[in-house]
Amino acid sequence: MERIVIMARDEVGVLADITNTLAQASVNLESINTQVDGEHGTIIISTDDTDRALTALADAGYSAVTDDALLVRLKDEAGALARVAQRFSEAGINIRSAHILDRKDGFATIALSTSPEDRPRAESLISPEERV
Amino acid sequence: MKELTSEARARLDALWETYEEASACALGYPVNFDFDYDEILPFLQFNANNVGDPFHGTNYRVNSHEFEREVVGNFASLMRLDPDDAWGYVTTGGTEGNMYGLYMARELHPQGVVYFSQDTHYSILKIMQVLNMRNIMIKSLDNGEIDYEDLYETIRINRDVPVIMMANIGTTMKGAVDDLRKVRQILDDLAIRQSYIHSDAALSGMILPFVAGAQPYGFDEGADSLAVSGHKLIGSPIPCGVVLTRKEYVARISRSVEYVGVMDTTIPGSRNAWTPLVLWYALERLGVEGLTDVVAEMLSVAEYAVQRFNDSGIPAWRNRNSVTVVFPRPDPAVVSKWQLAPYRDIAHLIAMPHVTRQLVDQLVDECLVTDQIAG
Repeated sequence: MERIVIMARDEVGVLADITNTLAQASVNLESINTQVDGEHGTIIISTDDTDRALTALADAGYSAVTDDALLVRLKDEAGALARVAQRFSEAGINIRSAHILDRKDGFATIALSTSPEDRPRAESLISPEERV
Repeated sequence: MKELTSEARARLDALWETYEEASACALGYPVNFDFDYDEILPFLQFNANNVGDPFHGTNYRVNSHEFEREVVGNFASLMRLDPDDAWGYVTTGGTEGNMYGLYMARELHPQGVVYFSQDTHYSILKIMQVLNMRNIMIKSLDNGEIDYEDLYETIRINRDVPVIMMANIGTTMKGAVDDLRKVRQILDDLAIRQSYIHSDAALSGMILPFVAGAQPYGFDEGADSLAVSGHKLIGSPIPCGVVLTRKEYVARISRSVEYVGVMDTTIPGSRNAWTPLVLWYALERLGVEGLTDVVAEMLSVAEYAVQRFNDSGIPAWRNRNSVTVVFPRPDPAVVSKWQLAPYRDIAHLIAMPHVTRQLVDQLVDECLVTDQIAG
């Protein structure tokens, strides 16, 4: 099942707003899991229509990605992503793209994408502490 | 053709009213409403078309290629490139210019990785997707400039891969300018042999040439291509821009284009012939002196806005040589009325030529009133 990861502030009403946004787009929530970290939260959902859910969330101003992207949480310091990139490079894996989704409390959440063939190996190079 | 029905005419009238009303309170987008092109309006009666490369001939003579070449030459001078060494054309706006720049980079360095900051305009993400280019986002500093330390560390890991730098010469939200000298220093320090710098100078590309003490922005500072908007600072009823690069690069692209039997080096085929006339006309009438005055007034209004906000207890700031004034995201009613473009917890006003001190006063007063209501 494809997951959607949403970066959101840990504020009263965010969860209600997300569920309401999805309901208005006629998207059914199949599962929801919230991880709160300081002022921010990571909300992981699965729905019956990923594309429609992503569009609705983006329109509502949320930063949301599918887990086609490999999400990592790294210390927000110069070169943190570069060190992950080096691991990939040494394993012969090309990063297609690396986008910063969020920076909070000294950590950055980054979406990495590789070729589908490299994806399993890339995943194995991410430590449990770095995984979102 | 038959006459318009009264219903259709009423719809047009309503649209006119909407345009008039919305134009009177547009503070958040980098577009200039202060222009007058009456003298060249009659040219819209022709089905003119600037199809193809403005520097090559075409059999379709209802075109403004000659004017377009002059526009390219004038912009090249402003962007510190000898017009004799320059190639370019009038685009549909910044996005097409950025696409051309990155297309050029990809043709010259097919294995390259694009480095760009967090504050880069979202259209760059679309372009990299379209061009299928590898890319890595670099952190931004608080003022919106790229984080040079993070850039250094990230490039260091990928030293064997050509570097394609997407430099922001005025970011969308904060008007920050990536320092091309620092970027070049990083490339030198890491002994990068193959690199390419594209400058997205959509708005600030028309500000920095006209200020003393400008940050490095142009070809003299290492840019290999540059995109600037025409409808932003100059103002145009139809979005437009100019893309510039070095003639020698285009010659290389032309060779690769020959394989498909086409010598047109522009991205679109048919291109409108009117916006080159608009830019030519504006440059003729304003000249460097006129543009210098316009920019000085914009910067003065921007500074006035910062002071007005701060004097009212609302923290506001701007980058050096920027007309983008950043302040806390106000009430949604204020955002909507003044057509602000908020991002997360900030919003900005952009002191374009039509933005007066009176409009700034109104905005600040309304921010204060809604703050009190919310409080």
